Amino acid sequence: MEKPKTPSPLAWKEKLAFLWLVLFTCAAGLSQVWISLGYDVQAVPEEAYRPPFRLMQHLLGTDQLGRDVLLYLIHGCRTSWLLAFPPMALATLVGILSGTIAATLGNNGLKISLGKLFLSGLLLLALFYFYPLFQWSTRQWSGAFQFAVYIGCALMISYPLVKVSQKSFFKWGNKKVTIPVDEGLQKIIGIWATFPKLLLLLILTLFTPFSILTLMFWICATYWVLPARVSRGMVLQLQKESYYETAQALGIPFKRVFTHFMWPQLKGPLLTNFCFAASGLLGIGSTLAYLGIGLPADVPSWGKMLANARFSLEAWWLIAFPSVVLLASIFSLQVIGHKFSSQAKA
Amino acid sequence: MTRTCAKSLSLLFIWLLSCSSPSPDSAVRVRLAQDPESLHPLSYGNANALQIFNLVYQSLLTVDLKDNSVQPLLAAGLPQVRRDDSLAYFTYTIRPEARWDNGSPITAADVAFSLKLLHSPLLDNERWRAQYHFIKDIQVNKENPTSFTIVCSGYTPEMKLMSGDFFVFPAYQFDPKGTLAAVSYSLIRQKFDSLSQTSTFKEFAAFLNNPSIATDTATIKGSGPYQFISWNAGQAVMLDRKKTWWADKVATNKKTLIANPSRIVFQIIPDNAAAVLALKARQVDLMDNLPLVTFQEMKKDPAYTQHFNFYSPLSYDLVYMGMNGTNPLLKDKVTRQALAHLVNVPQVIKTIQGGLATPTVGLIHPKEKEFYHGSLPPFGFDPEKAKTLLKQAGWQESSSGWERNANGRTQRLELELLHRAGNSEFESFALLFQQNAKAIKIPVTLRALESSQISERLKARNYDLFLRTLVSTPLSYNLVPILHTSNAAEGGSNITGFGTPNTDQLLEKIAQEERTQEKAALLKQLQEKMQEESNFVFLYFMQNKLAISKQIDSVVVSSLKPGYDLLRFTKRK
Repeated sequence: MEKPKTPSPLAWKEKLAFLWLVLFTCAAGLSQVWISLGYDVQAVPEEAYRPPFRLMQHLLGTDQLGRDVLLYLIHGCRTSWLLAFPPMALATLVGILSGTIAATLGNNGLKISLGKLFLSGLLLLALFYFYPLFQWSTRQWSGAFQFAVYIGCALMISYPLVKVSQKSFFKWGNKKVTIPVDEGLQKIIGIWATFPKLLLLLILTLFTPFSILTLMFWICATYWVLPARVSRGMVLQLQKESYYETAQALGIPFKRVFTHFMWPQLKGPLLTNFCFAASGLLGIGSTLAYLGIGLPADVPSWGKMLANARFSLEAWWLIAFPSVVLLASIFSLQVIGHKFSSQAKA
Repeated sequence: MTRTCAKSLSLLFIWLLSCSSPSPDSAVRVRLAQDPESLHPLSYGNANALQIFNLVYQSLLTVDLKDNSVQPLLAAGLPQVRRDDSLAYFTYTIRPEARWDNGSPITAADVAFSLKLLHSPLLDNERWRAQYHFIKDIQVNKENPTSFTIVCSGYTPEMKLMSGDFFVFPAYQFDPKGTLAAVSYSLIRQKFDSLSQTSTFKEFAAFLNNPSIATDTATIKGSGPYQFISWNAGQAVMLDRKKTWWADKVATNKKTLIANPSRIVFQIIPDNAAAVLALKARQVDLMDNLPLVTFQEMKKDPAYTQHFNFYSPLSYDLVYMGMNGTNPLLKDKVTRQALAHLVNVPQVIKTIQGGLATPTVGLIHPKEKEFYHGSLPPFGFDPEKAKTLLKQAGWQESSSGWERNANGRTQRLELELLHRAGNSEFESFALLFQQNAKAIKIPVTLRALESSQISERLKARNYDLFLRTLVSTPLSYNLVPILHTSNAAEGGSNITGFGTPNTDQLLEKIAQEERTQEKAALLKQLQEKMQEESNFVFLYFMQNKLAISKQIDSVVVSSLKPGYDLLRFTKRK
């Protein structure tokens, strides 16, 4: 019997990378705690441009508004963390779901009655049409809560309606049409992948007010493509394996096949992609902040600090410290990505 | 092999970078922050386009940037003014030497054509129609083709400049078929709608609305000293001095007819940091509105002081925070006064502007001593006073902020502050204001938007607070358009909803008043009222931060736009 693979010991640079990422995550967590306690980074203009390593209360110096650079960098960790990990995790999940569904259903696997399709289309149109009215009548609620309530109500109303529509009153309503799910996804991926990610984000962020939440949403909408492509390819490949046919013949449910046989094979490439994409996102998040796009002025960001540093070359610490933190985070994720990649290959 | 190629390319790149040397030619190179957008005679895009137009076209009168005095330009002298009950008559004579590029004299017919152009149908001249609405007619002297009288409705002192402050365009070039010559000025104004249906006007409008008019070097030709050579969008606009310019032959009264640089190149560099690099590499001779820290650092550094002179002239650019008086949250003046107490103007001037700004209590520059209300104490930074005022306005402090009951509904004092994206000074101010407001539990959301988006929100009155620069002028105190309640409706230019019947009367009197003492008293009353209403929180008048190459002699800097007199510059090689 084959022995289970034991993971190779970590090299010193991998240990260092893990340590840095733990510190990065702790700093982001600390910043979140401070923010929930109302402890923001304070501007004290009289203290502007204090050089580093002179005063204990401003160990890494201050910026043009007298904000402590160390504190600003820690709050910047939170922003970078929020822009890299949660949207990437969600994008990966969306990618796995869509890629697996497309590979499993193929172009002939989804058949839907015309009546149900028609009703779903009508419902979607109605939901889209009535949203402004709902928004107006509940204008005192917060935006996210308002949206959640609307989606909840919509689901509650539309689910029984779609169920009822199975018993269509018209003959044509019972006619089934085949939805080419795989081809559809391939086309969407093909179009989506032609845009450079930074350019796509630059355009998309202009459609919504600048905020960390909207930027997270747009990142998620941009980055699901590669995980979807990887998942689809892997699932198609694994479906040709003999164990998949055996499992189907034995009537083992797909969920179990996926979790026990497919996921262990998918995990490696997806984790590698996650690390490289997250490292890229740290760079892209900072680039957007540098350009003044996507984030409001009061959200601390390393890119914003670099942007403000352009005007004063004497204040070298405003370039040096955020650059070091940004590069260290990007390299750490790259090193870990390589580790996963080499493990997957082994 | 790959490595060798990479090394060679890197060396080539470094060599190319090190080769960027100061421009050796005699052209004066000026940095512009953005393209002129359009060089159409009627719908020119922005202040940069106006700056270029001032070199190509001429008006009857101009303002001498050396002493801010009104001087004749195309006109032989200042106008003779005559008034009767409801009309004012401004009589001008054009300089006899004035010529177009084809050698034909500039006459009253060209002035009449230019005025008609500002009021013709089917053209993009809406803002000019509003601005020159006061000009009722033009009467051409039949005996002297260079003499004419502009008839204006009513009389305000500003008309002395305004009646001659429009570009005079060559009729032979823009209207070769003489469409406008056949119709009188008053008829164009009276029959605006019916003329728009006629085929001749449609044809004329089609000719003038042709996009090539705005970019073609052959059509952008005026009586000014420079001819338009090229415009590469995003790169440069180039102008050359005419070899034979009519004003070279003028013997007397030449004060405003100076044009020294043989070539002017406007380098378009939108990014401030990139523009600073170009300045430091001496690839531009002049840069205005330098970022404060760069300005301060360059002024200290001998490497730059040996090549550049630095100036910080006063300007009439007033930075203020506006409040929406039509918004239910900010409808009462006491709430607005409370917010005004959260602005720490001295701190902002000291830190964000490095002391290079002038605090003010009103719209009038403190330099204008007779009109400025020097004895009116400004609102100080006082969060406690702000809290007291909020309570006075009916707001109640709770653990989460400020609330009050209005017509059975609970209002929460939560505000949004609009500021221009990319303006680091506005962003810094917005952050400080947000911090001050948060300290007394008023949540303020910062929203960075493009200038045009801010304008749209202001026009629709869909805002709480905003930051803006108001370009004022010491030459006119007609504040009716921006402060009168008749302009406070949606889309009007009174964007803050300022005004009471009392202030409306004041504004009307100020616009009419010609006696200095009386005008000063009225303006001081207005400043008091504006502080009491607090729709505007005046922060400061900015000071321009200019760096000009030491190769340039006869430098004249000014408090009026664009901040320097380019025509007087002479560049040493």
